[in-house]
Amino acid sequence: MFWQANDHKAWRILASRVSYAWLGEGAWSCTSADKRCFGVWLVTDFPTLTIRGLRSDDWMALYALFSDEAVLRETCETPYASEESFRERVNNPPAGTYTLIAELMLPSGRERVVGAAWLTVLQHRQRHVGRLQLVVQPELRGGEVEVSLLKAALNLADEWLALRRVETIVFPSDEVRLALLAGHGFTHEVTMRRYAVRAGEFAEAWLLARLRLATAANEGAETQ
Amino acid sequence: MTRRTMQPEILVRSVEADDWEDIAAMQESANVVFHTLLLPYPSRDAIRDRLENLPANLVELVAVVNGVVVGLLRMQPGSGRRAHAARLAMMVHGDYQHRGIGTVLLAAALDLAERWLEISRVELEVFTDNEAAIALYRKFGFEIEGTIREFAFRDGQYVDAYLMARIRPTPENSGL
Repeated sequence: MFWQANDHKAWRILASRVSYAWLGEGAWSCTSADKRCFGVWLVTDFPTLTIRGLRSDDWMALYALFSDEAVLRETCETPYASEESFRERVNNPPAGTYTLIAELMLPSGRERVVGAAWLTVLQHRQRHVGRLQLVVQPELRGGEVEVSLLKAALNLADEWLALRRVETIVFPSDEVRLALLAGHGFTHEVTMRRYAVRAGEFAEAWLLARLRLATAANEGAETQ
Repeated sequence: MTRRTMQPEILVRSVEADDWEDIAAMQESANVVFHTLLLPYPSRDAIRDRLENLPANLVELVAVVNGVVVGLLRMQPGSGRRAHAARLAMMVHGDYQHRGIGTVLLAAALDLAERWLEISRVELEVFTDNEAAIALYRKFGFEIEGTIREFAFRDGQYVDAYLMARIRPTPENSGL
């Protein structure tokens, strides 16, 4: 049941009101509430990707994810974080933070958390702004997991929270992430010199942002 | 006969809990609300509570003229991999603009940051139409790093801001 890269309309229907039925022999049927969309997925050979909300036991998977140096490099986190700090993050997330978890269902039936996205809505005179952070297991970078997480977060921002501005910070060496963001309407706004220590050096970082109105106008122009 | 051409003396010191009334008066001035992220009608209780419980590593300086606090500067150093970077915000009472109060406050804060706190990046956000503030920051070596579109809602509109930063001007800041 891998999401198709540009099939976000179907994705939206899936995300909203669908009913699933197990057909046996490794196949699920999926029917939207208004019966306009129906599909059958075979899951015998492929792992199934789900984007879902946070569960209290996710702290273990997130702790493992953030123990990987390749993950830390692209964030501002430090190594040797305590387990307790992750338990705290999962159990008491800051107000206005939405956490999306990307989970693979392996053919064996085992579930594995392979990525997460955090969308933090700012307050008061900036409550139209969301800050986005994406983390994906390094072996799965640049694939469906990353695209699906970004699409789900942007759907949340656009269709449910009506945010006007979504911003994210990226180290410019992360070409995979830059290409993905550019494909979803993000543009470079700020080059922040000496932003953070990274692999023994002071590294610069970029602030990228996507304005909903500008993005909607571009999409309208393309379809005309 | 005395000629009153001298500027009043500007004293810079750390903020004290007792300053809350002056700070509330400053935050109530329309000019300050317009150029910052503050909201009109601030709660005086909230201002007092905040000053009585300041975070440990926050630097908060005030400028005092004739015994009254007329300027405030906040500098929050980062932590972990951003411990060398600090975020700065400041305000000057609307009735005391263009008297060098911002200059005195900012000079004190940068001296503290770069000579004592080992901070090599000071960053701030400023609305793109706040020319007086932008000129002040430029005078102290801050550079515009980019424009944050629709940064905040102000007086019925979404307005842009510049992200400005000053990198400590020493040869050592090229590496660790």
